[in-house]
Amino acid sequence: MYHNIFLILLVFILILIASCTRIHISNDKEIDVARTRTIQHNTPYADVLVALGPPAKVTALPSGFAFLYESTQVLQRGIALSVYFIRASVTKGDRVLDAYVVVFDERGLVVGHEQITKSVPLSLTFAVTIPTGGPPRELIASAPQHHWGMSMLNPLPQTLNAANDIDAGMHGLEQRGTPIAIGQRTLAGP
Amino acid sequence: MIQSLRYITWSILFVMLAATGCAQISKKAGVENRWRDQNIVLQEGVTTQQQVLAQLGPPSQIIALPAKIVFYYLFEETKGRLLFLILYNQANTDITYDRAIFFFNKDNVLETYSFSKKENN
Repeated sequence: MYHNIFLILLVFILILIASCTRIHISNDKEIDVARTRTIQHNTPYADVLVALGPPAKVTALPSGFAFLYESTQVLQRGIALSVYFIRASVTKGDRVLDAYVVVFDERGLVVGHEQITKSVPLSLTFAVTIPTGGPPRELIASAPQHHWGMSMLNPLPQTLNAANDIDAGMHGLEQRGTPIAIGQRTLAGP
Repeated sequence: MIQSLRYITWSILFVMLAATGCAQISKKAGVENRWRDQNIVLQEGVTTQQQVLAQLGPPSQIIALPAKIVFYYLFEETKGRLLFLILYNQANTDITYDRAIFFFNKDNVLETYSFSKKENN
């Protein structure tokens, strides 16, 4: 009799089990705050490069150019109850976005710079799913430089909006994680 | 009863061991980071665009700035460590970038350049 009870118990444990999941994503090195303090008005761009290295993104501007340095940390925690491969889960997460932008004039001298570190809570989700999810795709998307030169091969709305392609380095900068359906990308959004 | 207890204990242990595991993933993207080679010769005010291209190959991105041309090289590496236990699962992903950026003046001569700082710098 005990044998049967234990067998049933074993099967029950295996098919109906709660589990915790912790996902951590680190995207790029942290921006060195001590080095950003050395950057002042009229600092040459070469000194900015010496202090911080190459930026994550570069763009031309009508009156100069700009660098964007970025670092993102995503931490997502979840608890799930699984019944075979179907999963009922509650997940909650935070992302810490560190961004530093430096704007230069035509001579390559700093005219403005600002750093922001913000913690943005990721949405609390409750789902009954087959577990395929993860953090928002825009936070783990590969760097836009990998796709440079392919802007005319995108789906039609994006191709038609290629003149405003933010990833081309000619039309401005955008922080990682910015929703796609805003600003210059609005026309290319879903 | 004791025998059944043993049986079930071993069964649970077996299933726990069989169902748990760990994994390591690695992904690389971008251009080959030849700028880390010791033989690369770069001299501000002397090296030309053609010499940079000959040594490093095509860049990831070329950007036209006012009175400057930028060659942007990017190598991206993703390393992930996954741990699957039955009650607790953990995934750590670390995305690192090795970048090189070159600024040329109107005469196509290297004005300045920079590489990503290594971890110990």
